[in-house]
Amino acid sequence: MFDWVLKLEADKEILQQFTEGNIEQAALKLVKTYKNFVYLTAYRYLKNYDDAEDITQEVFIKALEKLKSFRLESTIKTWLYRITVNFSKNFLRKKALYSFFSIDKLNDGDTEFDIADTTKGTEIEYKELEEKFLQAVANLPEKQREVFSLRYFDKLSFNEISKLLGTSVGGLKANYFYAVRKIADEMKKYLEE
Amino acid sequence: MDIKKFTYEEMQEYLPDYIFGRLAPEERQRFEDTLTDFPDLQKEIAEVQKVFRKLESMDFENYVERKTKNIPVKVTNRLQQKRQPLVFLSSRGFRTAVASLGLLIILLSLIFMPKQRNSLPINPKTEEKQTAKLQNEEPLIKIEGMEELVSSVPNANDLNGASVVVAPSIFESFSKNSEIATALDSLMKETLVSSLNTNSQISIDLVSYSQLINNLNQLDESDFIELIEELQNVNI
Repeated sequence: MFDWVLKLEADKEILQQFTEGNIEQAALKLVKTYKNFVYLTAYRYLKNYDDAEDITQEVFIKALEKLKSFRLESTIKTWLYRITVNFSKNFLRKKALYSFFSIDKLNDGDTEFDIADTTKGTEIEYKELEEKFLQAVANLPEKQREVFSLRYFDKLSFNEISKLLGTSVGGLKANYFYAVRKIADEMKKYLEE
Repeated sequence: MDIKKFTYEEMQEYLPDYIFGRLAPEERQRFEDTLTDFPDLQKEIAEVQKVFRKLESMDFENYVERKTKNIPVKVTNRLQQKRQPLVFLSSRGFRTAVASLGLLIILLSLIFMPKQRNSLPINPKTEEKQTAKLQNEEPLIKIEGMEELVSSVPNANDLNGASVVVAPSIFESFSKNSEIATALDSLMKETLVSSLNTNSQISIDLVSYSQLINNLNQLDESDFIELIEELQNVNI
């Protein structure tokens, strides 16, 4: 409940700055607050870091264009989530079409984390684990993946997730349980190595 | 007081929130009371906790932060790029340029208006016939004063390097900048010559053209109008 109030307050502040004409400040605050959320959401769909970054930029540009007409009927976070999912799905459709006509080859090369710039052993180990963790999440079935991410990373309530995904709270809880179980199973083998 | 216990399915549904510490105190109490009935769930909780404790010690937030640190700058740059055309349109320099261009167009149209009034309307059918006739060697049209005018125009072949008095540029009258006037004049000459070459099969030299313009400039307006009227009355 307290989280919800804080989120609304932050959203109100962004909107207020925007309507008062402090557009650049509002834009910067919006991007800084929600960049990780948008980026991770895009990554879960695209499974590619470069594409996720491109889509994140597109999402914010679109959101800033439409922010004037945004009404606080939902939080900015859930609004951004919808935009991100739509953009990611459209991107995947286009990419599939291009690859079908061989216009653009699917680039899976950068899904693996580049560890060339790391030096310490533990750091590499941690980064690899973080990478594996993200991949394990991204490889879940869509419903499980989304409920896990929105609940675990983004701390949304089941009611909020239910509105976003159009699934009953009971169904979401079951999906959440199966997602946690699968991730634990998947990550266990890397942690035991 | 006897607390109502959860079913197995309910226990599964609450399990993640129990592990991640997101259950309300009453729910947590009820969950722990029920857990003693399900040893398989106890084992599962221990395994999941072990994995997620390790994952949560990795500072995942920082990991994502590193990946997204440049996004605010990139978004801001792209937004500025998007706004730049509008900034350019509203800039003082652009408005001055538009105003100057408008003024130039008005000036040009004022200068060319009298010339256009004297120009002949071109009928496509007549033009075709004229082209055909012009290809013949013998001139079929005789206009008073025309012979005199044409004979005064030297043939380029006859000049053979002799100094030619270049016709005063028709653009000099409205432009004090002689470079612009010269450029406009030469552009017009080139256009006219190429047009004549392609349309009427007549090869005309730039020097001859200069002489022709020179002579035409010396004609009175009344003579010129008379000349045009005679041309209009000719049946080809």
